[in-house]
This record gives sequence, C-alpha cells and structure tokens, in this order.
Amino acid sequence: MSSPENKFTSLDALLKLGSVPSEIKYAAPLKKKASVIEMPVMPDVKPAEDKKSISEFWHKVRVFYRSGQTGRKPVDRTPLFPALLMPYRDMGRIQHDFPVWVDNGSAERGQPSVISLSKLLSKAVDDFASAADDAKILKDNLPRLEVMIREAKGRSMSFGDVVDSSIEKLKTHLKIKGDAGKSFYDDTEKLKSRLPQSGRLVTFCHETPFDLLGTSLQVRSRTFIQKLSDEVSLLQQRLEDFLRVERQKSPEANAPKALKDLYGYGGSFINFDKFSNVIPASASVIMPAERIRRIEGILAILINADHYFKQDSVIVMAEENKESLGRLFPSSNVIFSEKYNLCQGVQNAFDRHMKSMADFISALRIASLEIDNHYDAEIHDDYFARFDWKSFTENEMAICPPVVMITDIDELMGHGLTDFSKMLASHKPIKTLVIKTETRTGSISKNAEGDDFSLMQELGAMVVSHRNTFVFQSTSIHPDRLFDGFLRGLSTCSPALFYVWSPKDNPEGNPYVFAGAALESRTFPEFSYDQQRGVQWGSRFNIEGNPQADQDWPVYELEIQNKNNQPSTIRIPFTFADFAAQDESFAGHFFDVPSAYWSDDLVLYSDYLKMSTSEAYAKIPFVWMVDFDNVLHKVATTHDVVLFGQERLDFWHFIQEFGGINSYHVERAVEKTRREMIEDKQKEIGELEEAHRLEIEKVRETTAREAMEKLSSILLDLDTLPARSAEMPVERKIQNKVTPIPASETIVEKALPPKVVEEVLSVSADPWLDTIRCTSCNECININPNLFKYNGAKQAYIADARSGSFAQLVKAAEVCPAKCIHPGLPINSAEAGLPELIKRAEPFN
Amino acid sequence: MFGLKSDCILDVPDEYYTLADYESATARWCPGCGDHGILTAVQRLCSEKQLPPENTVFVSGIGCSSRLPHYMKTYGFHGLHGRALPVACGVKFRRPDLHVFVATGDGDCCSIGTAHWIHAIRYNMNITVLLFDNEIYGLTKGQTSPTSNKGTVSNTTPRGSRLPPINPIQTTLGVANASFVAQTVDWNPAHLYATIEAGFEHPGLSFIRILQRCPIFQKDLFQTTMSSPDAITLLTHKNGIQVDPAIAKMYKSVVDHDPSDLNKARELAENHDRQVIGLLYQDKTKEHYDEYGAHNMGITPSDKENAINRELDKFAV
Repeated sequence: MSSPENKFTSLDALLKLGSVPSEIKYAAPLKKKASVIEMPVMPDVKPAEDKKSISEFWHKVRVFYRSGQTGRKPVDRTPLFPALLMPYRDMGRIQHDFPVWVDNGSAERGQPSVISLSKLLSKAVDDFASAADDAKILKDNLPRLEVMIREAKGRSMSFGDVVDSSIEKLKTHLKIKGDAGKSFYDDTEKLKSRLPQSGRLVTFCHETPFDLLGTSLQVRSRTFIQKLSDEVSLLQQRLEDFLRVERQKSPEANAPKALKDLYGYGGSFINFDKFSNVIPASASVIMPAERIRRIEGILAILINADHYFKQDSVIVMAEENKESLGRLFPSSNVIFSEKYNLCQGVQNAFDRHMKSMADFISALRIASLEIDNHYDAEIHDDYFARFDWKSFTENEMAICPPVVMITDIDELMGHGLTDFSKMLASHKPIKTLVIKTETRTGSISKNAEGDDFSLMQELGAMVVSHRNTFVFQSTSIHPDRLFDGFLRGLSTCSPALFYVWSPKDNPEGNPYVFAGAALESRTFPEFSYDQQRGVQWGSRFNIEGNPQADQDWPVYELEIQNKNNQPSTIRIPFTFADFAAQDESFAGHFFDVPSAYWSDDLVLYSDYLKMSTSEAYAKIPFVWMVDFDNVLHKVATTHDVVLFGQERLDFWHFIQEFGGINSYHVERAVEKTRREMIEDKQKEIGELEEAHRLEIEKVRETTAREAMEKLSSILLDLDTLPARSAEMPVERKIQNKVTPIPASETIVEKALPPKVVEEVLSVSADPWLDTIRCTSCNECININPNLFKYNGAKQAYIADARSGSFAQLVKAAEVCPAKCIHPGLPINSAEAGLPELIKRAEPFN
Repeated sequence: MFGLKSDCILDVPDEYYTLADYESATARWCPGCGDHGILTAVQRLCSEKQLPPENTVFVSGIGCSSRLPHYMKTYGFHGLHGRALPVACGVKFRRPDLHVFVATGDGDCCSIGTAHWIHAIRYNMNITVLLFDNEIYGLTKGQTSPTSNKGTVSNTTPRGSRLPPINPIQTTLGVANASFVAQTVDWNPAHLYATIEAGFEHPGLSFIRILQRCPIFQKDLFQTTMSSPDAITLLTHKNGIQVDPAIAKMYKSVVDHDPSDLNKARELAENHDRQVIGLLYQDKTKEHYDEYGAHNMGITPSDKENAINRELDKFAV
C-alpha cells in the first residue's frame, strides 16, 4: 500500500488513512463533482394505516386551510425553505450578479459601465483564451479569484490594486510549478492587462438603486459634457472675434501704440506717429451699442458655462433622509425638502433650475443667431424675454442636468399621491425614484395578518395611466437592467418614474433572496412603459425582464434523489406561495404535512389556482419545501395565500396583456380569422368534392357506354375497336419535345474516355502535429523536448519547429505510435541528407 | 433561478491540483505502448475532477497494466496476481469516501482473476475498473492470454492458439447486476477520456475494456483497426459517451445504441467481425453491495474494533 508521498506500505495504513471520525455516517456513495448543489431527497412515504388518525389529521388540515389555526405553536415549526430557493441558503457559496463592477468613466471607452464581477472576469479571460483548453488553470480558478477579490474589496484600494493583489494571492496560494506554472503566470498577466484599473465594486444592499442611479447620472453627464464644451468654445471664439473686429473700427485702433502692437520685428523700421496720422479713419459701419452689450452679456454666460454643469443633477429628498442618503450623491446638488410637501419642493427646485438653464440655452441660441447675423431685436427680444424650459428642443432638454425626486412608496401613497399625479400632469420632466423597502410579505397588503383582504396598490400601473411618463418597475437584483432602466428614463424629455423594490437588511431573511423571489413569483413584476417607443399602446410596454414571461408562473426542473438515491426530476412552478413561504412573518399560513398523510387531496398550489370550485372541493394546496437535511416536504397553505396568489396572478395577467401576451383582442381576432379560414377551406373542399363527384359520374357513364358498345360489337362480330361516338372524350397525345442530338456530338461523347478526377493533395510545408490524437507516449519529447512539448492535457504539440532538425522531425514521425506527427518540408535547406529525409517524411505528410 | 449562473457554486477547495500533481515516476512502459495514453487520461480525469490525491486509490494486480499505480501520485496498491478487484472492493467497502480505480490486464482479470472479476461485477461497488486488453502477456515476454485471438502464435502456443478467446464485454454483460459496460481504444485519446469520465461518474462499478496496443509482442494486432476507422463501429446515444463531433466523424460506421437495452448490447458484443467502441450498457438503479457495509448500519469503526477485541479477548490466556 502506498501513500502519495511514501508509496507501498501496508494495507493497515490504507484502512487508517485520513483517520475517519468514528461518528461519521457516510451518505449514499454517489460519485459527485466537488462543486455541486446537494440534491433534495424525496422522503420514503409510508402511508399511515390508522384510518381514524388519517381522518382526524385531514380534518385538522382543512380547519387550518380556512382559519390558519393548527393548534401548534409557531415554535414547533420545522425550519423549512422553498425547494427552488435552496441554493440561496448559503449566499457565500453561490455565484450571482453581485458584486457588480461600476465605473462612471467606462462608457467613454466603449465598455459597459455596470457588469457583474464574474462576467467581467470571464469576459476578460475569453478575450485571450477562447478555446476550452486555453488558460485552463486560470479558468478553473476564476471562482477562487472571484472569492479573493470579494474578500479584498472594501479596503481603500482602487479596483486595479484589488485585482493585482488578488492575483498575487492566487499565485502564491496555488504554487504551480514547471511549464504549467509558467503558462499560468503568463495568463494572469494577460488577465491583468484586460481588466480595468478604475471603478469600484458594489455589493447588493438596500442602497444599490441609489448607487446605480448616481452612476447613471454621472455617465449621462459625461456623455454630453465634452460635446457641449466644444460647441460652447466655438461659439465663444466666434463672438470674441466679432468684438475684436469691432474694436478695430474705433479711433483708438489707429493710435501709434496700437499700430505698433500689430507689427513684430518689422515695426522697428516704421515711425508709428507719422503712420497714425496718415491712416484714414475706418469706413466700416459701427456695431450698435445695444448689440455689443447683448453679445458681451451672452459671452459672460458662455464663459461661465461650467457653472451650469458643475453638478450632474438636482436631487430632492425629504429632510429625514439627509443622514442616510445625502452622502450617496456627491456629484449632485442635493436639496432637502419637507416630507409632506416633497412634490411641491421638487417642482420649486425644478423651476429654479430650469430658469437658470433657460438663461444658458437662450445664450446658446442668441450666440448662433448673432454669428449668423439673424438676430432681429423686434422678434427675438420679446421671444427670449419669455424663453423658458417649454421652449427647449429635445437636444437642449437632454443637456440639462435632470431634476430627480427620491422618495419612498409609503410616503408617496400615504399623503403625496395627489400632488404627484398633478406633478406628472404638468409634464415637467422631473424624474422620480420611488423605493419600496418592505422585507415582509405580509406588508404587501396592509391586512395580510388580519381577516380582511385588500388589493396591492400598483403605483407603476397608476402612473402608466398618465400616459406621458416613462415608467420602469423592477426589483434591485438585476443591476445591469436597473442601470439601463435609469439611463433610458433619464434620457427622455418627459417625466419618469423608477419604482424599485429594494428590501432593507432583515435579520430574519436575506434581502437578495427576498427581492429575487418577489420578481420570480410575479409579486412585483418587472415592466417598462416608454411612450417614445411608438404611438401604439402595446409597443410602449416591455415585460421581457420577467422569467418565462409567457407563463403564469416560471417553471423550473428540480433534480432530486428518490428514496433509492436515484436521480429524478420534478417540475416546480415558482408561485406567490413559494415567495410567501420564505418569509418568517408568513409562517402561520403554512403547515408541514407529514409524509405519512400525503394523499391525492394535496394539490400543487399552481394547479389548485386553476381549479374550478367544484374541482377544488376537499383539496388542499401545497408547495414544495426542504428542511436542513435537504428532505422534501409538502407544506399546505391557507385560503389567504390562495387569495393573495389569485390577486397577484390577476395583476400579472394585466401586465402580460399590455406586453402582448394572451391579449384578449388578439386572440379573438386570431380565432375569428381561423374560423373564417376553416369555413372558406371547407367551402372550397365542398366545391372540389362536388366537381370531383360530377367528373367521376361522367367518366363512369362514358366508360359504361363504351363497354356496352364494345360488347355489342363483339356480340355482333363487328370490328373489335369501338366506334368513337361524338360524346367520347378525345384522346390527347402529349408529345415531349425532343431536341435531336447531332450525330457527331453523340459520337464524340461516346468516344470520350471516363472522366478521371485527379485529386491533388496539398502538403503542408510547415511541420504540424495532430495534438488531439497524441497518446502521450513521450517518444517525441524524448527526441527533442524543445521541439515538442506537452499542452495542459499532456498531449504533444510542436512548440518551436526551428529548435530542432528536420531529421528529428522525421524520426519522431516514424516512431510516433499514433502517427500524428507530420514533418512537412525542411526549414533549413543546408541540413545534411535532406533528399533522403524528405523521402522518409513523405508517408507522414 | 434569478442571478444564478449555470455552474453557480463558488465552493473553492483549498487545494488546486494540476496534472503534474498526479504524476509520479516516469513511466517505464515500452515506447509506443498504449498504456501511456491511458495513464495520461486518468491523470487528466483526476485533475479535471480535482480529486484530492489523499482520497484517491489506484489498485492493480500483476502485469504491464498493473504498473499504473506506481506512476500516479495518489494512494496505490500493487496487489497479488488476479486480486486487484477484491482488494479494491475491500478498500471501497471500508472507505466509501475514497475514489477507487482498478488497473488490470487481460491476464490479471480474465485469467487468474476471473472469479473475482465475476463477483466484483455482481457487487457493483462504486469503483472504476480499467481493463487494459492487449491480448498478450507482455510483462513475461509474450504468452497467449485468454483474450488472444484464435491462432495467436506465442511462446506458449508456437503453432497458434487453439481456443476462441474470451470476450470480456460479452462475459461482463452476462453477469448479474452488471451496471456499466463500455469499450474504448487507447489510440483515440478523446474517446478514451470521455469513456473513463463517464465510468467515473457512474454510481456503481464501471467496467471499461480498453483495446490497448503492445508494440513488442502484438505488433500487428490493432494496426488494421488503427489505420482503418471503418473497422470500428462507434456507438452513440444521448445517454452514451459524448465526444466531439469531429471525433465522431472519423468513424464511418456509427450506430445509435440505447445503453439501457441489454439485449442489443449483448448482440453488439457478440459481433466478432467488427469492434464496437462506446457505452454498451448502463443501469444506474442496480444494487450496490457497499451500501450494506458496517458504516451504513450505524456501526462505527471503533465499535467494530471493540467488538473484535472483545471476541479475541475470550481466547486470551
């Protein structure tokens, strides 16, 4: 018996190796890849036999369904988790969209501004190692590098420094030696060069939407500020030229000193006092003083252009948020307003901001008019006196730093809804970020814990009814989509609403899982309404951000182990009940049904919702959950959960129809067209059948008559050929047109020998090795280890054809058992014995 | 589900093993021997699956093939002739957490070790068995083996062997509780690797016969098969061995064979005119004898040791 280091000792050593802890009970001996999610296990169902106890149990379950009362204390409840959410129990183990790398300057470099760390790393590696076997060690260890970067973040280092230190840590940790180590180190250098130096990592938290909004404001600002700056400089220069020319017209311009300043070295030969006396006064028309004042006025504005753009936005929020949110927008002008009057506060800020911007935009416009000499005081004085944001073109509006209101759903729905609606109706392009922070399912309805049931108020849908407002509703789990939604909303010239569910940290649950489950379960569906996308109502909606948007609920296949430890699959829809089941505050609505009492009366929640009242009679809905031992449980729900689910499904259907899925009108039109097509086809078929029937009758009659006539002829010993009657169908002869082949051509064709196709095989002049066929026998490596090398899979390739002789190549080709070496032609024409070597190489080329 | 990648787990074991971490002494097989390729394939597998060397055991009997544990930097057991399988079963029975591989040859497995072969197949423990079949006794310089073709001329049969050979695939498919039977060739590294990988992933005993070249004592045996891919039938199926389409294109004779069809597998194995490569049979639901080990009955190693000591103490003087 051997150990990795000290081989072949004794069997006893093997039995003791690794010193098995005595308490271990091994799981089923399935071979598993090291990194897999453990499969849930279906319990071995042994039905209860005592009919009385079964009856009593089901009575209890039905009472629970109606009342939510089980007679058990909440503390008795086994900790369970929705089966589909099992991978998220340990967030440290899974790779997901967070952390994201964020950089407000990357858009200029044509890179995405927001990208998940895992995507950033894999994209960078794929850039130089696209084939599966390239940079294998690095690719295998990207998850390890990601973990190291995650752990290193948070220190006061730039992203580039974090990457550098993590890669060094990875190299030290792996300690890979030899050729493999060298190529691994080369690959890490290539990776470094392809990763950005700037930017930062953002983890998932309640503040993520604010962070991404701030970044999108900066990115938006950077995209136009350079262009605007160039335009302003040009206008400024042209206007200054105007004034300079005007100054040349003044008598002072002919003064000796002014003239001397115009000349360089040549000025020393001129007497400027005399020169000044002989120069005639300017004959040009002098610019009116009013125009000069106007130009000087707009020049003053243009020179101070930076003043208008030193902050990328104006953000208005309630005083209460000063401490928590104020710091998140360092490049914005943040204004704090009274909570109960936030809409008025933001409108006031908007009016002030737009008045200032109107001054700047009007200066731009006047500058253009002046340069083109089109400024007409009679028309334009009055026009620019009344110039405000409503006069802005789309491009002019786009350059204005936006005004953004940040609030929370409770504040808005509680006392600000009327003002908010009025604000939207005013068409002022104010952008609003509304955050929903609840971390409890119960709070989706204020009466979730009580007896009453109420619908969830849908702010997004309400705002859509204003028609003029861009709406983007989502949870904060998809950073790239959220960022894209922000950018699109900020770029419109209309009001915009960003309604984002970003749960606060909650000791009872994971906010990431909560937000994700809210989106998956249609509890908080994602959609956008963009009136700029088309005039037709349907074209403005996009619901593609929802998983399996054409379905009622997204359905996933869950791989499980059955009682015999064999893999199996069950399909599980992720429903509202699954969402609610992960929330401790909803625990009273779920009841774990022991497997001994599982029966056909337990119906999957999604199926239950589809049942008619009569079908659902005596049935109880359940969802699949798992315990900490990964054993599957059927967990019954209450009637309240059914009501909530129906309400969410109803809203989802509402959203689906807007998105063009299951549209009542479309389906009706399709059905109508289908019906009409079927009717037309049936009519056509009927006509064809009738025509066919008539034709058959006609043929039958004719054939019968012909037969009778033939029979009569035979009987009467007449001519055997039937006489052709007038009614008989005339026989048609179809002659194929045959083009005669010239005799000579035919002869030539015959005389030709069979065509011989000569296959010309090209021989590669360069030596090559069919690596995939190499069986790693060491033969070629032994001949010349510089000429031949092994790749990461220990299969040979020609590393450097010039580092060996043609003779070695030929010899290697001859001894290679896989015959995968092709020597090609000699590189060095001075090598000895080439004619013989080339001949020996021939069979291998 | 939301936010998850297809391979979403970030479990990163502390150690990372490259191919070099499984390389031990330089292999001393003859130049051109097919065993080199098999060694590389198992080293690649160990690295790909990141099998900790301290949790991996290669067991062998006697023969050229059985030198393989020497060249693996894992645990190894170079056993008695024909006894690779019982030793491997013992290791697996006692330590189901270890990855157990068996390297055996046509003499070791199909001659002196036949009884153990039959029962190991029936036990269906979770081990990967690689039968290096070069149809000759190479280590002892060329004697006819049970798998040598009829008429094989060797030291022991100078006028040619008289009996038809044992077909290891046919034999294994005839044993009760066989759960994974595949055949591959050493000169197609991609197919060889994919087959060993499939065997490793199989939850039970995977029996893989590898047609292996011996360039010294069976020089011409596979020459025709190697140079003419027409001589081989490739078995394909969605549940079979998955190889790159470019590799599959090498073979003109391709049969879509469902590995759950035992009768068809037996038919294919009986065809002596043409070798088949691929997965002939697989059934993941077969019983595993190792599940009935003491460790699965709640008896801990110390319980067992105490019980043995108690019994032995009765005979103490």
